[in-house]
Amino acid sequence: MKIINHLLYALLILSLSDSIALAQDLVPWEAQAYTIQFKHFQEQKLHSKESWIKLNPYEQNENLENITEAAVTRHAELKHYYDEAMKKWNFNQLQTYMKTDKDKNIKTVSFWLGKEKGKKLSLKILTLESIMQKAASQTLDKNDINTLNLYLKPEAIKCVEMPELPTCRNSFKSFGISSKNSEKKETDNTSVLKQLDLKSPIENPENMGMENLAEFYDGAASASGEIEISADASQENTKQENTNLQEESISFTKISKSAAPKNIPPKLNIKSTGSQEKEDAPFRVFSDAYGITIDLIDGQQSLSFRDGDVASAAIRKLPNGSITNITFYGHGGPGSQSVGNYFLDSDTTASLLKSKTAPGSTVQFSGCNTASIGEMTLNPLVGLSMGIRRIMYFSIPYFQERMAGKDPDEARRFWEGQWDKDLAKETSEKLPSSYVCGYRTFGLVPDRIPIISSFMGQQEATKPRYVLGKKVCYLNGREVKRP
Amino acid sequence: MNFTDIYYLMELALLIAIPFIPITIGILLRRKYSPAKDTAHRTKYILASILFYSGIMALIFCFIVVLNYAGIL
Repeated sequence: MKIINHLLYALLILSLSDSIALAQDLVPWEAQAYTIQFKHFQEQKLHSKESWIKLNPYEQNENLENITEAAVTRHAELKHYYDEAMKKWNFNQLQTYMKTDKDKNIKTVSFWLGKEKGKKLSLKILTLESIMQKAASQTLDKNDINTLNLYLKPEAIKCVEMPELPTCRNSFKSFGISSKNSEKKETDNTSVLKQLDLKSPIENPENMGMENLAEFYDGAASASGEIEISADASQENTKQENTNLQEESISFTKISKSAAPKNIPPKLNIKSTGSQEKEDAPFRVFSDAYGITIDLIDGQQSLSFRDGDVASAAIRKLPNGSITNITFYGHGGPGSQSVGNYFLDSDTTASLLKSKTAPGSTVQFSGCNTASIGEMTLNPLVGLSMGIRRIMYFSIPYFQERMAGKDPDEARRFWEGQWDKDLAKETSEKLPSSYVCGYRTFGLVPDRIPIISSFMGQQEATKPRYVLGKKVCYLNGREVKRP
Repeated sequence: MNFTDIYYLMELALLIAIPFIPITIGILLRRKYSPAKDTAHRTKYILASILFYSGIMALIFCFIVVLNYAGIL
């Protein structure tokens, strides 16, 4: 009888445990209640959507339970890393961070803590890189120093300005000997900055369906909002005491995603020109003014670049719809424009700015002949400019090709299609909702007059103050009034 | 050299001549009305001078544009 009772109990226990397993529901991939666990699965490549849905409810719950501690630790670790990265750095920390794989770190922060934080970190890095690059070749102006003040401690700013200072050259030693406490603290912070890069398993963004950082911001495949963890302890305790990194108690009852920011948060102003440069720049007879100037959506920020490649990298890192005004300043010709050694045509401009410009933004080509000649005019200067354009971009190349033995009809057809090309219009057709402006004539910039440009402090200006020329603007390929 | 080349040579000559046309007309008229006899003569002389200096200005403008094209300005 006893044996029968035992058997019945055993059967009852078995049936109960089975019913518990059966009662567990399937957890959908990237379920909001388990956001950080799923992020950890993805980061560690433990599960994909395909492998997840093949698991039964019991296995799913077991997996989630097993990964929770590691996921919480990783999340706390990244939060700590981000907090440290957003503090004002000393020179030691700046150097340490600049040596790490910044893109990877930014991606990891965006992935775990949300795009907004990723953008903030990216903006800091981008700004510091631009200013440091500028500092290597010229003196920093007041705006640069103000910008550096947002991100760096005063001694670090001094080192960015004058890296030849002995304290900066031996920065790793000198920053550590101020006091025992500060030494420990700074070493810790530096290790935190190094830590993420070393431990970050997101080595290949392609694994997350993202080819590059730009694509990452444009449209990440996985959930990328910031994970907000409430202090409600109704569900599982997260063993936070083991991490020692996070102060608040955490559970996973209420997890929500924050909206992506509409504006870029900190004030930023990097310029290659200004009153300070007027005093400090060496005197040169001829102007060397060219550059790309970008105004951002909050109306305060303005980015200026001399190097087109640096500018295009910066543009790619900007959030979508953040550019309100962009000026390409350099030498132009029918259908193309140069900014220093960087060349633009309608395709490159459209691919560079696509989705980065805000609706109603202005793209300005400040270069000669960046629009077609348009209709006939009574203005003699415009007429002369048209004549010179015809000679330079049709007659001369046509006769050059004829002398080289090219067929006259072929040469005629080709150059007739080239000399009156409209870069602004072509770009406008490819950049909907943005005003694209160019010049129908040669544009003369008073600031470029030899000797005077140096006196005016416009030697290396990245934007013209005034252009003598016939300007035209297009919106969706149609000529419109200037915005 | 064929017809297309001749056509474009003529066009080129005309384009290059543009600033010289007012200069030439201005010189001729200034000579004609040189010792100004009365107010009408003086007005014609002034108009001729305007033409002449406009042509000079046009030449300077072309020169500036070419310098700009060459990257000097």
